Amino acid sequence: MPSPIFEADFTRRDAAIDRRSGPTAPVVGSYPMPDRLTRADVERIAALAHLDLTPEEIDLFTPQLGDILEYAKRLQGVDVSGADDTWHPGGPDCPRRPDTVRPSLDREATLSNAPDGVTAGAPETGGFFRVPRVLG
Amino acid sequence: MKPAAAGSAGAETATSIRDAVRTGRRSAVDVCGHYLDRIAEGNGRWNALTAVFRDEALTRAAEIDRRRNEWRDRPLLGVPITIKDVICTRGQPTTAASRILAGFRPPYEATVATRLREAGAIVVGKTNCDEFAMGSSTEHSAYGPSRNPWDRERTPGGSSGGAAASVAAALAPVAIGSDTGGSIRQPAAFCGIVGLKPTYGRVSRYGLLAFASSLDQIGPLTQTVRDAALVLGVLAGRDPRDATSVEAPVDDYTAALTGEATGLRVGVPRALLESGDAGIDDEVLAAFRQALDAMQAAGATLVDIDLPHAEYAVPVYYLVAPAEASSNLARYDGVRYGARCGVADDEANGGSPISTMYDRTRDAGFGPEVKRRIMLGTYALSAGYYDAYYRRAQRVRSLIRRDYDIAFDEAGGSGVDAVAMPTTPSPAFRLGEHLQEPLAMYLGDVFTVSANLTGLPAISVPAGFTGEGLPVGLQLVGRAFDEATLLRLGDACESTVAGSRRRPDRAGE
Repeated sequence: MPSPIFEADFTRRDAAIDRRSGPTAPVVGSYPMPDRLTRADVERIAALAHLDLTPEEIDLFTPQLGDILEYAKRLQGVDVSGADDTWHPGGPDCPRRPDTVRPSLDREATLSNAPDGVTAGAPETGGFFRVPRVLG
Repeated sequence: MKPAAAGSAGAETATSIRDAVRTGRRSAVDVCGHYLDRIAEGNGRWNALTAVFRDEALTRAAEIDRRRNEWRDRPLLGVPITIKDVICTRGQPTTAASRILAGFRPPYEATVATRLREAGAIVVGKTNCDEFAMGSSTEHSAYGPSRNPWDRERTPGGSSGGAAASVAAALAPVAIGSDTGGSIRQPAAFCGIVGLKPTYGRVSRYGLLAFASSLDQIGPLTQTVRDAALVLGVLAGRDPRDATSVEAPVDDYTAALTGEATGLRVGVPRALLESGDAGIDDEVLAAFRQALDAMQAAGATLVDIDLPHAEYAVPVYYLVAPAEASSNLARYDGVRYGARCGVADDEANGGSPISTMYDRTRDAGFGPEVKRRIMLGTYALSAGYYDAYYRRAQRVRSLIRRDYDIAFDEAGGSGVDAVAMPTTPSPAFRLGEHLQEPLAMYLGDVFTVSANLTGLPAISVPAGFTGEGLPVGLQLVGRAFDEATLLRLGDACESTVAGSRRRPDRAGE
């Protein structure tokens, strides 16, 4: 049996969902429809995606991505009530494998592809990827 | 009877090469040398291959000749193949046609490559493609675009454009591609050959550079449906290294090819084809109608079906695929492989030096289409937009799958064995035609993306030509893990559609 505390939590969450999708909320479907993509949006996404875009790229991508997202808004008109999410087309079963130790890729061969891989030497002086300073 | 293969030795099928090598009528070295010479002569014209492994291929061919008796039962004995540059071959360049993977030589081999080699195939080279398989024209390649063997000014399609061009120009009898939204079928249609995307889970993706993991599949591009069946038999099966590959029994696909389609029911989504949304070219529609007639002549029954959500497949796909890509491509950060933009230790772009290195490396290493998709996917997954875009797309995706389930359902639905539609709304477009308009390029994927969203198998087979002599493809979508029926139907069409074995004119070579 769930404790009364958990029941109370679920009740509060349901109430929040109801408010969000209620008839007075400014929504299309069950959530607010985003506005047309702006240059500031593109700059924000580029930072999240670790892309140091040039100003020219931001100029190019803002209308292009905006057009694609405007086109995608036609999905808002689809009745999805009763539709589950399809995360992948495979069956519901997730096959398991025995958790046994197996050989992995050869360390030297793997490091040989790195732009700054240190292959030679003892464990203290080699066998790792070298990167720029991590702390700002 | 099928029309015989065109006269040139270059148009030989994998099946005929295998038979000739098996019986000793031709040596594997002779066959391999012939195709390597064709590549050396023709690749400059088509830009189909990004790497050629001449010495390794000839060494392997000589080994096959020495061990011919011992290996005689291998299904692809002595057959030269090309492999798309997004599939890892151990120690050989694998770059996904991206600057960010310049110089990468994988320390491991894709399962499909291992299976092909064990089956007696000889890997002669890697093929050009859109960067990380993102595109429909091969124009988004760090190596420059591939060319269509039917018209050099046109795209061979994409993303497996180099693969399709390599088969159409007879630089290899078989190419292995990958298909995330049509990347095997669309280039096959544009180049007048056969392209098969197997069911999700049918073929191992171990060693495929991941683009969208719930959509990616590997499959063959071939000159004939029989060759596609032969190669699928080699590729298919469970692989412990890919948890999404399944145990489902592997049929004898070549045995399924009876040359006729008696008793098969083929669904035709007329409303989808007639809606202005799909924007189908008149000549493509005319060729499609002739292909339907050919299927009827081969014994199939045509059934009108409804796929009411198919018109949403493109917007669903262009949210789901970029979302998965933005996650999969996070690994390309200049640390473990590929290129890196150097950063001085006291230099930081508002963040730490390592963060500055990531951002610069990724901006310099990725091309514009990959960046667009990473951005689109990052946006669709970001706080505040996840429900409106990504989550809603996943739900509409379920409705698209439900439409197909009803079409295939024998009890309450239409009970069809396959759904037929054109592979593409237009024949091969001109290079540069859609390059500045990403959305226009995406709309051309209207008929192919559903098979990836649903996981269903689909094949493109030649269905005649336009007045200008450009090939048109017929697409058939089948039940999950029923590639055998799809191949049987495709083979029956191939036997009855006029000109399905016509090859590009090589007079100008």
